[in-house]
Order: sequence, then structure tokens, then C-alpha cells
Amino acid sequence: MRSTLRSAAFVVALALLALPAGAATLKLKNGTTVTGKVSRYDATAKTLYVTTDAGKDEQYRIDQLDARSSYLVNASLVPPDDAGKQLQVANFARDAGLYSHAVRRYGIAAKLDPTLKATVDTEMTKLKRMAAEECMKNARAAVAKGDFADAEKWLTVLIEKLPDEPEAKEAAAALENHYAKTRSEKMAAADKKASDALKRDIEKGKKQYAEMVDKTKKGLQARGDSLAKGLFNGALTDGKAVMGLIDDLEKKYDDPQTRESTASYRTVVIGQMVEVHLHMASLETVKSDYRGALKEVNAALALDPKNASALAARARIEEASSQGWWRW
Amino acid sequence: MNIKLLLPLVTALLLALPSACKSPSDDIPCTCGTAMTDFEGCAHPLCLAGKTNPDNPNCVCGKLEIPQGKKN
Ligand SMILES: [Zn+2]
Ligand SMILES: [Zn+2]
Repeated sequence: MRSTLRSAAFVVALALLALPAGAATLKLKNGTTVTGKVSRYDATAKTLYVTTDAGKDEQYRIDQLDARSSYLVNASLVPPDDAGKQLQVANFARDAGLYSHAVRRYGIAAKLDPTLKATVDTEMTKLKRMAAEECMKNARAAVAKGDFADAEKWLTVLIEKLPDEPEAKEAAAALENHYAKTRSEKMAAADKKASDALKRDIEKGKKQYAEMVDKTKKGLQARGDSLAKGLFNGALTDGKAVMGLIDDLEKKYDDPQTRESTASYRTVVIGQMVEVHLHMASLETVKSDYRGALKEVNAALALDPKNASALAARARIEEASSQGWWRW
Repeated sequence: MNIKLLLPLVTALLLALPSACKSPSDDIPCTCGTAMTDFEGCAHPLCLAGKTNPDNPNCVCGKLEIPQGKKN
């Protein structure tokens, strides 16, 4: 028994030791993944020395690593308080397509040395240009695959994060193609479960839902915050009216099957209302009004507490507001 | 104290440990490595804190530990 206990303790100790202490995952351009411990970096030869998990000593030149891993090495080598070097790493991240990493580091650089502000602005202008091109490319690729939900995500990034780039206008126009259709399809799916009587009763609500969708789309297409906000608020008013109608129908019909159908309609309406709140949060975030943004995200979570986008948005906003980081 | 009783207890405790440490923010998945996350940033707590998520090999949010060896 004593030996059983001892071996149990040994297993536990082993498990604790296996927790990564300086373990690194590196990816090479040729597609291989290397895990191990970095033993040193030779700055002149731009070479990283790694003891792999298999116990082999290997060396990799930075140009053998893929873009993400070489960014990781670069980011690990800069002193956290060196503004100039942080700026260089930010440029590196941007050129590797790691836009959010770049934006965060530009923020750090400008915070460390406010005289860099003008340089950072110039680099951010370049970043926005590159990012807008890539977003549009991704949106087009998604359309070509028939994945309109994914296309819409890219178009929304363009509209919300890069409103001053010419592609944003194009993105706003492109919303005409599928925005309303994907949402009326959701409503049609809910219709399939409903009885004829319920369908008759929900008709007015469906019209109002379509108006809510139209106002959301127009809010995204609007140039200017106050116009967009007005449209989004109008969409929410429509949404609340539809929810009120669904409440009434739940009182009218209390059989389980109809209840299930009204719940499907409710889910569709809530989905759109959550989306509107998140668009409004995005408007506030761009202005660095984190409090206003959080209010919107919390309103979204009150409607759908497990909504993944809203939970992620809340985490990002809370972190940005506590660190004073830049959001874009 | 009966050792026979102790063993399952310790095992149960160890097994319960990871789930007991769960906070609501653990529900946010790490999306590092996806094209969209390169734009909007990862919301996973470790990534937001600028640390590497050991469960995602595509995560580059933290730093590598590079010992300060001889610089030549
Ligand atoms: Zn992550
Ligand atoms: Zn990460």
C-alpha cells in the first residue's frame, strides 16, 4: 500500500512537472511544428536554438519560421519598455497580417513615448489600408464559396473598424445582397414549426421583424454615428414590440407545441436584437467610450446570457478599458 | 487514518480541481490562429492578458522564454 501511495504521488508530481515551464510551440514555413524549450537566441545569425520535447538540439533561422512564429520570437526579444522596438514589432505584426497584435503594440509604443504618436499614426494608416484590402479579399472569397454569413462578418469588420477606407463603402453596398435574405430565412425556419393559427397571429410581428432587420442594415450602411444610432434604436424599438407580441401569444396559447413555436420566433428576434446591441457597442468602442460600449454589451447579455459574441465583446472591452489600450 | 480511504479521496480531489477552477470567462474559447481573430483579437482570458494559451499551438499572445545566453 505504501508503494501505491508513493507511485500515486509520483504521478501527480510528474503531471505538475509536465505543465509547461517555458515550453514553446514553433511552426516552420514547411508546415512542421516544433515543441520544446528555447535555449538561446543568436542575434547575429538570427538563429534560435531549441531543445525539442524529444530531447534533440535543433536550430532554426528566423526566416525558416512561419510569420506567426517569427512574430512570437521578435515579440519575445524586445524589452517591454522600449518604445522604439515595440513600434518595430508592431510593424512586423502588421506586415505578418496580425492586425490586432499590431494595434495593441502601436498603442503600447505611443503610451511609452508620446513623441512617437505621429509615427504611429502613419503606420496605423498603412495598417488600415492593408487590413481593408484583406477584409475585402476575405469577403469575396466567402461569397464565392456561398458562405454569406462569413462574408457578412468581413463586410461588418470593414464597416465598423475601417469606416474611412474606400472598401467600407463597397461593403455597405454589398450588404444589400444577402443581409435581409439570410434573416428572412431564419424566420422561415421558425415558421415551419408553427401552426396555421399561430402563423396568422404572428404575421404583424413578422412585418415588424423585417423592419427591424431593415433598420439594422441601414444603420450599418449609414455614414455618421448619430444617424446610425437613430436607426439602431429604431430597430430595438421594433424588436421590443415583436417580443411583446410573442409574450401575448404565449398567454393566448399554452399548449406545449405552440409554446415551442413561439420560443423559436423569440430566438430569431433575440438574435437580431443582440446583433443591434453589439453594433451599438462597436460604435462606442471606436470612440473609446468603454462605459457606453459595456452598457450595450450587457443589454445584449440580458437578452441572451450565453451569447458567444457578446461574451467575447465584453471581455475585450473590459480589458481595453482597464489597460487603456487602443481598440480599432 | 485509513489509507484505503485516502487514495480515492485524493484522486477525486485532483480530478475535481480543473472544473472547480472554472470561472465564467473560461467559457470564452481561444480563437487564436483564425483569420477573423487576426483582425479583432482573441477574447480568451489568457490571450487578453498577453499570455500564451498552452492549449492552442497557434497562440502567439505571450512570450517565449529565451535565456539570456552569450550574445555573439
Ligand atoms: Zn486565444
Ligand atoms: Zn492567444
